[in-house]
Amino acid sequence: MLDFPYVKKRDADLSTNVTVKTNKLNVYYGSSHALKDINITLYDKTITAFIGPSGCGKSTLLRSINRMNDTIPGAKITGDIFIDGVNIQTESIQATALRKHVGMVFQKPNPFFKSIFENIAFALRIHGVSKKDIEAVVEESLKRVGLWDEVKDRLQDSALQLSGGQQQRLCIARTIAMNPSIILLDEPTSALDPISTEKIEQLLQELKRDFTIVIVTHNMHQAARISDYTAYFHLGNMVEIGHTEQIFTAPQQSRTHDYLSGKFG
Amino acid sequence: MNAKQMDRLATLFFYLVAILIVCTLIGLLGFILFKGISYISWDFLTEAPGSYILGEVGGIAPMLFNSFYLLILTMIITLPIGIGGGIYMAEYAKPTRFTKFLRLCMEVMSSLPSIIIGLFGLLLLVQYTGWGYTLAGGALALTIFNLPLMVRVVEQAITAVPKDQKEASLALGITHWQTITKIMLPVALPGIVTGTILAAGRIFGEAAALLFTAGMSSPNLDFTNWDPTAVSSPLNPFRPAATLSVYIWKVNSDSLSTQTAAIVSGGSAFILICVVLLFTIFARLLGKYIYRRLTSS
Amino acid sequence: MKERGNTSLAEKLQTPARRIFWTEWRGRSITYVSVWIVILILLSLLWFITSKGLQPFLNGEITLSQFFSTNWSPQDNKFGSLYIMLGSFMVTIGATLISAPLGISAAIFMTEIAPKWGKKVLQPATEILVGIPSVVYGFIGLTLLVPFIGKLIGGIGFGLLSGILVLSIMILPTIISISVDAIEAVPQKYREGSYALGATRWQTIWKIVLKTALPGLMTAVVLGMARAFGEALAVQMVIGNVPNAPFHFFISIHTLTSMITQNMGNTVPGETFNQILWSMALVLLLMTLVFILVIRLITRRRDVS
Repeated sequence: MLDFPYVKKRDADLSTNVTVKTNKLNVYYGSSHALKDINITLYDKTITAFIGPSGCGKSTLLRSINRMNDTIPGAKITGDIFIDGVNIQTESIQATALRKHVGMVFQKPNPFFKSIFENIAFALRIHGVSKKDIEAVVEESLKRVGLWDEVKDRLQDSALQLSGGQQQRLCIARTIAMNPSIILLDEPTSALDPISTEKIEQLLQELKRDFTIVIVTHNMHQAARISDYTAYFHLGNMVEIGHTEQIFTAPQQSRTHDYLSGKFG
Repeated sequence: MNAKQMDRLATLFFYLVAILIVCTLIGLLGFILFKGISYISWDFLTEAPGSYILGEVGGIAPMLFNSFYLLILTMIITLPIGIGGGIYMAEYAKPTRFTKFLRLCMEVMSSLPSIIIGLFGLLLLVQYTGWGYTLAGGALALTIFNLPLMVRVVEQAITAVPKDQKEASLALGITHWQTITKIMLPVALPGIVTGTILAAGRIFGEAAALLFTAGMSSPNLDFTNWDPTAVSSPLNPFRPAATLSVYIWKVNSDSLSTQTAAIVSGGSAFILICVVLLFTIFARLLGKYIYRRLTSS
Repeated sequence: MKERGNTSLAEKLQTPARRIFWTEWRGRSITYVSVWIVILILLSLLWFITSKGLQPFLNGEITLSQFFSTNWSPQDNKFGSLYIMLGSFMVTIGATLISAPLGISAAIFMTEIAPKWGKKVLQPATEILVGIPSVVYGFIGLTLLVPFIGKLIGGIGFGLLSGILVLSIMILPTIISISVDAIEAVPQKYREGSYALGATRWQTIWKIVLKTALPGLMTAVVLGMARAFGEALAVQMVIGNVPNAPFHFFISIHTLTSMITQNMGNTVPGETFNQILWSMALVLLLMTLVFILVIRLITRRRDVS
């Protein structure tokens, strides 16, 4: 029997607009075949969780959606990824321009070695946002992640003085300040304490109203608590995807069941 | 002898070697500093050189000025190329044949004897250009001498920047170039500053590359004339210029073991060592200070 | 957050971003130009020194066998430079024989015997030794070492031994710092395995650490040799500068670098003596390339095994 006391109930009004769709996506790192023939669809303004044992390819798929894999030497990608119907694997799409619209938050909080204000303002300035707007956007983003009251009096202090949980929320603020359509999160709470984790989980529920969210997590309870859809990966294959409620109560595949019941992982 | 005794004997030997090396260093520095300090006076620092062959001690003011001026000229040329090259090596060099060739070039260039660089300078910057011995020629020769080191300093400093800083910036849709210049270079700055000042110490003491490029003598300098195009101006980059290191060599090879030569070169060596030691200490302190400013302000 | 503008994601993705392209292109080009400057400088240096060094042979001023003979007498237009080249080799080998064991021992001391003391005292000491300019080494040799040897042995004190001693101190820091890197790269588990078998520290160092670090240590020694071979001023100041056969510790000799340093300014461009000096520079350059080749061979063998 699977034992997940807090499985998220299926929302009645889930969007059916497709945001991301892959077609026979394969990723190779040198000679290792990291992702095999992935066909996955992600829907607008939902949270999808990728789960699976380490090395199963879940982070690789995440990093394909904003083409961060391009930065890894020796990475090779075949197949297509469509975002809002546009194939991002084609020559005419610049990875740099794409990443403005597909934000990413990393496993370890990685604020820039700059002030709290500058952490958010930096990218805005480079992308040509006017000085007046920058201050407004910084404030709005910090309010959005619930950090404003904690830092409003010390915006010029180094971001490295914040706690780990605050740093991660700053990283999320930095990402949403770009006003992306999709936010990718790569195990965003694995380095955080339970209280900071809970704050971020609540935050993601809020952000879902405006953004399509994809989260890779090592913690299946977290996936069960917060996501609308859950995909299970194993050895580079996507074994199963479905509504979270269904995956955690009645998985179709025995491998998914074995993983969720703790037989391996 | 059993293994235990052998082990103790070996340990003793290693301690002796370490003590020998430290004592040698203390002996060398002590010799220069204690012997040299008695020759130092305000006049020695501020006056023009005397004719030491006739027994006049004189001063080292023009040489001291030349050394610093040449250092500044060299750094102005080296820094941009060194930073550009270091960035290429750290961030843009892909594992191709060209990169392998490039690394070989850097290796060869950094092992070139400095006298060879001086000869190349003589050929190209003195004879071919028709400039004769000039500060500009000296600065370009020192640039060749210094470039491979600068490239390595910058490359290592950039490579040491935590990878997550780069990823964070790229993930915000910032170009690789802007990520390098606006995110990675500031974090790499302490390493670059430390390495640059250490390199400056090396340039300050270099002589072999300068003998046949900047020359072994200076014209009479008028320290009130700061027009860089005037012949007697200290700032004129197209005049010959003996540096402090070259002067030490020149004095010693001109006048074997006279009392005056000993005083002049002893005093000059004292100043040279002091400047180089100050560079070394300053490099460490400044690197630490910038690092603290960057991570905590 | 409010939408800024109403364009769809698909439209945004398809808007070409020229500014991004040009920023990246410009930056990348700057770095590319920088490395090409370095390459072109090196290639032209190699070309100029080589062509200048070959000139006396191509012009028929001297034959190779004359150049590699021992008959040196410039006033008779004889430029047999063998003793001068051998002089360079002798000071290099002599300095290496002293510095290699000392430098590697110091590196062992810093990594295996007393890392704390080593890092605190010996490492800064090495860094200061590196920083001392070579004219200062020459000056110390000239005013301290040469008179001392002269008093001890009799004679003037200039010569092979003085050159060897000055060079051995100069190349010591090179050998120490690269040896430290090589020894530190030996995995800790090798040492633990050896201690677990009951070996003493000395046995572990001798049989495990040194053996594993050997390619790195050899690189350190060869780099030290390259530095000794190319060093000019310090050697020139203490060697005596007479082209004798370099097989005796206490007589004045010449090396390639001392000959070039002493005479390049005193000979007229175009005359045979001057041309021969450039040929010596070419020999010096070729030897530098040989040292680099040796290092490449040593490190390549490590990559294979």
